[in-house]
Amino acid sequence: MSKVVKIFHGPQHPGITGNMSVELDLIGETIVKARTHVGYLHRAFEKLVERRTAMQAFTIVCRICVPEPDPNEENFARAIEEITGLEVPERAKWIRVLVLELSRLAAYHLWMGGQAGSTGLYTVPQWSVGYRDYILDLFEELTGGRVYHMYIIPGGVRRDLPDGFLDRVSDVMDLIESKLPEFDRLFFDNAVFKKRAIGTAVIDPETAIERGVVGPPLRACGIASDVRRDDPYEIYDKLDFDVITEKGGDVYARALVRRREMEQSIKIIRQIIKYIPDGPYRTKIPYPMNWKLKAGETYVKTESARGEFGYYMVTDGSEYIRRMNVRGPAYVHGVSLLEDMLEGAQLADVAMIMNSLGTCPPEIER
Amino acid sequence: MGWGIDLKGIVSPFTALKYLGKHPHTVRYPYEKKKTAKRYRGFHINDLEKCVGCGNCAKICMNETIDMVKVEGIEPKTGDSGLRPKVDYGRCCWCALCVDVCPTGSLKLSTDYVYVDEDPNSFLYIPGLERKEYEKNVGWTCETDLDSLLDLERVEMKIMPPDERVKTFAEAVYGYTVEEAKREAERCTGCGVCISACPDRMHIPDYIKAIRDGQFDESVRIIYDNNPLPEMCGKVCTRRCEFNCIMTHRAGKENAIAIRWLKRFACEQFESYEEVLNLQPQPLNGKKVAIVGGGPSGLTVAYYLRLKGYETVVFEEMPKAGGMTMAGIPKYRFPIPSLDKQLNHIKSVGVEIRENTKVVKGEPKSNNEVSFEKLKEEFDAVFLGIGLTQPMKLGVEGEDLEGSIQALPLLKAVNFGEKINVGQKAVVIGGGNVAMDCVRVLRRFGVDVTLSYRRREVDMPADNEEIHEAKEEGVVFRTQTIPVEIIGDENGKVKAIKIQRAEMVPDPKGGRPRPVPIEGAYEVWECDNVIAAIGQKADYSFLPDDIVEKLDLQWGKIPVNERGMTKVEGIFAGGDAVNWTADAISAIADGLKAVKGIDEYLSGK
Amino acid sequence: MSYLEELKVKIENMFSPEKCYFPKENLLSFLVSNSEVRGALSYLKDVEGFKHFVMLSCVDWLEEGKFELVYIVWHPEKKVNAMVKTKIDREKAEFQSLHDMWRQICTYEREIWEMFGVNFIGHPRLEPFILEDWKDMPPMRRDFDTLHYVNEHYEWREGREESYKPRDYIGEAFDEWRKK
Repeated sequence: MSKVVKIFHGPQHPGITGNMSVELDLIGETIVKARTHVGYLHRAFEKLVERRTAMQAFTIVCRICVPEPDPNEENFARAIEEITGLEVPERAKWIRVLVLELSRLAAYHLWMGGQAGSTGLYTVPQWSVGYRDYILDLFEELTGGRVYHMYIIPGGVRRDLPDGFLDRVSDVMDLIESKLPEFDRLFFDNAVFKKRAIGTAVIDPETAIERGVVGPPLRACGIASDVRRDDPYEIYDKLDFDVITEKGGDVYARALVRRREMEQSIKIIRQIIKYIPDGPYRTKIPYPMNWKLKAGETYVKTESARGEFGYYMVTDGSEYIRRMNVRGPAYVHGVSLLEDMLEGAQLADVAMIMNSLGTCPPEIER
Repeated sequence: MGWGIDLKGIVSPFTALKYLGKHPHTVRYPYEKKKTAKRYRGFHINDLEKCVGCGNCAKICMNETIDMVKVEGIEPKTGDSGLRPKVDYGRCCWCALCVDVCPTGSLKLSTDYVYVDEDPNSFLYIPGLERKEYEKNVGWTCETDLDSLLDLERVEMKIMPPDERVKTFAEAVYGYTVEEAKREAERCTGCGVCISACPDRMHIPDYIKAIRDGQFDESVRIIYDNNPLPEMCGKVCTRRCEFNCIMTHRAGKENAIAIRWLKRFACEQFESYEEVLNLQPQPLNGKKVAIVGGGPSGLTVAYYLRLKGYETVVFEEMPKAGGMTMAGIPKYRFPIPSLDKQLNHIKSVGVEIRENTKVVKGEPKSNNEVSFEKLKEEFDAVFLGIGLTQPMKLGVEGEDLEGSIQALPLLKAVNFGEKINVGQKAVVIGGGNVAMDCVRVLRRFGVDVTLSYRRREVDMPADNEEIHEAKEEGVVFRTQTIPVEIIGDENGKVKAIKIQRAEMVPDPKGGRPRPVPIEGAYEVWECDNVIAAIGQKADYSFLPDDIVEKLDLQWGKIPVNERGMTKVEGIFAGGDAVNWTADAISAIADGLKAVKGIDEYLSGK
Repeated sequence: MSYLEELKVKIENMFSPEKCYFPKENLLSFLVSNSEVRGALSYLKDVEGFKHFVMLSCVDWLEEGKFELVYIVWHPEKKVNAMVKTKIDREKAEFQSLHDMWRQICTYEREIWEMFGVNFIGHPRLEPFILEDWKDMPPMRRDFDTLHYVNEHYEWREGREESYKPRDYIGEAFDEWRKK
């Protein structure tokens, strides 16, 4: 008779995902039951927002996700704009998409580090985090902050692009693109990674839709679903890019989707550099503390690096937001789906599966 | 995926070996400190000179990081609260919203972001006073208007086009609609710096907030707390509040919050004020106060003393109370129904206004006169709100010719609907608001008007808007011209005016430049009328001589103490005859001072 | 007539929705009675093809004494969202668990149970989710006063006692100045 051993995986970071604990029942190396425990990063943002005006609240929302704060900012700003009917200038939309795609690239680099690290390939994180820093340098120059940008506000963006910024973006894109084949050789073609990733944590297409899987994990099942294409926001309908799909639905397919999407992001950024229009970058609102938001409700979503990132927002005509509910992709991937995926998996694969699903506790708990 | 050997997958990772021995691309040796981006959001820096202590930074901060504190050496003054921000780095999240709402641009962030100290209190400091070393490295700033989170553009006020304006005495400014007023009110940050400039210290942010919330009745109640003639102020106030509005630092005077128009808006929302205010004057306490002069200061005293239970009687020489706002200000700026509405409200609380009643010294000669001595005897206190009624003369040759007149009698005649006798061409001399009223009134009679002023246009004491509108209406401005002589024809009528051009000479003592006549630069302008609008003085002829002496007039003004009382016991004074700013809102402020003074005096406090 | 408009007509015929409207172009929102929620959702899911469950949210309408549960679903083919809402009593906050329709509703219901105190009948795992050892009122309820909680549980740092509101300070400072 086999003996069941209980192990707590976490709450330390299992890579770069954030503090989260998974309670595992093991028989030998095989997991028979997994239960997630979150709450280590709960900062009650949704509650804090209720007591702050829209413009004050915008400084909070970016903190919901560390690797990728911008979809939060964009979602928040767009939700407010949709409810109040605030028009965003064209240039601001282009700048927003530039920021979003840069942030996606940065997030994928960080993911690459986490995914490789959790498979034991430690050269990749050194490289990818290093290259991510070049993107952070761009963010620093554009927004004044490296990680929390607080840049996309209701009405547009806070500052115009600095002089010569797009040239530097272009340089960084060249650099990152030139490095991608090296990552291929080092990581995506790596026999060790392939060996461990292919066939691990498979999601089949029906389950994926049924369980609310979004983003790269869904596209890795061969379903071309991308918010940028399905429900175009900002200026995505004017841009030329492919929705990447892979077959297999396993860890490796998900990795390949992300790898190929990096190329798409670079492609999008190059289009933005080429076609960005001139004009104002912000629509003025009244003094932020006085700005009464029209009563209304909306659900907005962006395609973040981990999938559909949605905000449900309700306003009641006061200066404050009545309710802001964040639907992070990790909320679905990281709790119920992860629990199911881990059943039958090997202990050594837990961190890899978590990374592959895009588990991000800060957005589960908010 | 079978168990076959993935040769490529095994070999290709080893390509990374080519980087062995190469320099890392992230860190350079010897160690180079990376330069921070120009927009970096680090510690706060503040220019204490530029800062006006509005507290927008403290208000917008979502972490309550900023406290507004007193700083030694900085006193409150007009347009400056005297407070300065103090930042608690235990709470700051470096969002820089404080910078983006700073109206003066004094608050910035530096690119410095590392500070290590074992004393937690050193993380609580007043930028600009302490840690000045950060000022070398300016980071995040708010430079352009679009960067600023403040709405810097005033909601435009609709006004009658100039070619229509000159045909009518109907009110030229149309006033805000409800949406426009709310939108304009939303721009206000509620800092209260404007209060520092208002002689009357009106509760400006509070009534603007009420407008923003759509509570117009509440707004009127707040306004009436210390101003019994708000609609007048809402139309013709000299609005020093607006010139000290924090928005002016970035957007100029024309984009200050339209405090005056908002007040006007609130007041115009109601046909009458009785219901809105629903005041219950206290029962009469048996004390009586006589008010000489029904101008803004006198009406203020009468109104608020009546509310406090004093019996107040206003003696007004003219057929209608209102003082200069009735007699001096043209009706296209301040229509009579609007004045009536306010006078009716003042009367409704029980103030008695005796119009057409002149106060004289000695025995009254007719029913329309009352003797000052009798007033002094019958009433427990007397308030002098007599204003400036005697126009000053130019002091040049030919001033007594027919057609040489003064602005004030002209305006008064027009305002009371009397017929005036003016020709085709007129020259108005002066650069103040009275001169502007005068030229614009004359334009409405179809007169070709030239305005002569001894200094430059920028030196004119008149309101910029008035100057602008007068020009729109076709008034010819001739600045740096000094009248020398009025030339008459054989019938003793004005034929022309001789002026001498002047140049501006800087004052060696650093004062404002003086106009100095250019030798020989004479011009003669033909005209039918010369109208002097160079100022007025008070008329004390109705007072008994011994009282005038006791009043101890200084440069024609009545000195008063902090209670508004003159040097004669029981006689209080206020308004243009007392203060040097000589505008309606100062008169109201004087009135309120006297209300307090009289109340204290009569209740024996 | 677009798909959503057609759907709106169908919904109005089949159920008795209150305030069936489009908050934005590709989003249909309607409020149904408690008993119709399951029917509406399974109609959307099984007949119309709203296969993807986006989120379950809860809004506290304190003034009305109601909680509003909001189920958002997505149609992967037609690319439209629908929002099914229902109001439940705030005092006796309970509702049937719909975790059998979409498994991930489990997580959402668990959070709402914890944060709003809504009891989901039939839920397999109503246990603390995010909070730990929480004894107070469910914190996302609007009558939970965060500032009060902070003042009760934490201390403010010293050195911040002096703080003026410029508007009040100006009033006082200049009144004093006027007295001089």
